[in-house]
Amino acid sequence: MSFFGMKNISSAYGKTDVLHGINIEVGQDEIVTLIGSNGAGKSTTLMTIMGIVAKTCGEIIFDNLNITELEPHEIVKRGIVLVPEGRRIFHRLTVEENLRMGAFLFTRHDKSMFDKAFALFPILAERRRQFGGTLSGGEQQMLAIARALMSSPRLLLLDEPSLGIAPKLIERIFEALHKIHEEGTPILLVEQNAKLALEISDRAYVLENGKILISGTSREIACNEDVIKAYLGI
Amino acid sequence: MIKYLKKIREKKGKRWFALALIFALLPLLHLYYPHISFRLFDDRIDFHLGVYSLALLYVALAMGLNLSIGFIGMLDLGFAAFVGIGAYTLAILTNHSTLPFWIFIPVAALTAGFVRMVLGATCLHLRGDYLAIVTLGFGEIFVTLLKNNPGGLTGGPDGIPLSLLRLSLSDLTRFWLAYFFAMLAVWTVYRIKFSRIGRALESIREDEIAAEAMGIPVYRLKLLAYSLGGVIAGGIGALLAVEVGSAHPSNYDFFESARIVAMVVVGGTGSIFGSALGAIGFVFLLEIFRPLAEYRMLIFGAVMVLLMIYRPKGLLETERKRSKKKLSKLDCQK
Repeated sequence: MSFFGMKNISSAYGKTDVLHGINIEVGQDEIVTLIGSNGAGKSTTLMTIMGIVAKTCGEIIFDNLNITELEPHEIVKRGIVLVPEGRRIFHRLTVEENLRMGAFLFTRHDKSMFDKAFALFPILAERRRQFGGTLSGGEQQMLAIARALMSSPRLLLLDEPSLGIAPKLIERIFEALHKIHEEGTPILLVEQNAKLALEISDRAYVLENGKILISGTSREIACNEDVIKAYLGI
Repeated sequence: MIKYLKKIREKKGKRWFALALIFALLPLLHLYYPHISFRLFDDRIDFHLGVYSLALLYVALAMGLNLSIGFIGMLDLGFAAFVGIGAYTLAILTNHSTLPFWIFIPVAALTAGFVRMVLGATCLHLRGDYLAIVTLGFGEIFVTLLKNNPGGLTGGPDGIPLSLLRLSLSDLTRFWLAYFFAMLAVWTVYRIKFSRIGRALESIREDEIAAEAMGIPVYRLKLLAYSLGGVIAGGIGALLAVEVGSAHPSNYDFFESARIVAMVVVGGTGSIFGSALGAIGFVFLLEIFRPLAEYRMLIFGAVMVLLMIYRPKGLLETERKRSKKKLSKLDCQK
């Protein structure tokens, strides 16, 4: 059994089924990516893991623990944190407060956590007292990632970190993800930019209409003709 | 002593200190000029201690409502019902027992808090307009219930008179009671706002899904803030009933709710000092324009429209505490 695994998960928004029996595994030292077109269910998969979207069947095992029925805040406490799509930072809270909210469940505000966040993204230290809403898109994404890291997660879920961000900043963000991974945090990455995602990840799943279409190592997937045609646009 | 005062002033509470001092001095002023009055439209307007007590009580109510409107950002249109629950709890209990009335103030507060918790537990998962409609409905049901005099408890459309109780307390006593409880409410809400819980509440207002993803127990915290608003409403409602001299259904209808919402919104949603100013301004203006009777609402309409144009976020924007503490050696290298 791997570090994180979801078995046969289905979920629905009200009466509309979105996921149909998804199986995903993430190892302890892996970056796994989930690619697929709009509406395939990528974000829903992440929201389902966090317990924000209701599951209709299946189970999720994290570190030998069944977390299928847990509330979102209990899941965060076990060490899974989501960086939501579109950043979703708190606009009218300062950068520092945003970071503090990331560590909400871990009441001791460790100085070293701020050290880590500011070392990863020095710009945040400079902007510390500014409102989150006054940052640029790229800086907001950095803040969103740093905020998630404040609780020292054992599995980081990232939803479209490159969405609407300048190419130069995307590079910076992916460098940071690489660093986070090297320091020992496994990552489950959802990304529209399939090329970038396959470059950084170890394994990949291709999702379509709420089902896993293909899975394998990123290199295999990157060479798969269907994937090349559909997602890499070559 | 002077050192201590200086310390308070240096802190963020400078404005609060000034406001609290002004209100603390009002009884003194009243001692020398018992009737501050002027004429408007051939009517005499009289500013007496009762008006100041009323202003203080509404400051506290604005605090209670700010917990839900300002912090979590949910539109609450049935707040007056909980003020009413507090008032009726006190009125019914004092009429049926010989114990001193002040014992029933905490009872009133807890009853209202409990009812609000039950209501919140059933409807807080609703969002935006839907929640507003539920609270609106609850307010209407409450008033209708009062008018129908269930079990002969509420006195029906006549309400329950408390004039004897009112007369047993001097103006000054009632003023200091209001002063104490208003300060208590302000202090409580202030402490919450600048705490970890307060920040979490504001993050729920900013983005509920993100807050959930950060591991903030959204539903629990919402319920906590919502119920606490009920506790404040109940306690202050009891005092308000004593101040007015009766518990009457028409005091707790939709218009009362709307008035308190207006105080918070005019003052600045989320801003504690702003909503306090909103409440004081509202009570004073209502008093000044009393000769216009129901037409004074026209003036408020005009004021609201002007505010929407020139200060859409309210008189004061919400306060942010900027900590000066260094968080990291990398912090602020510039």
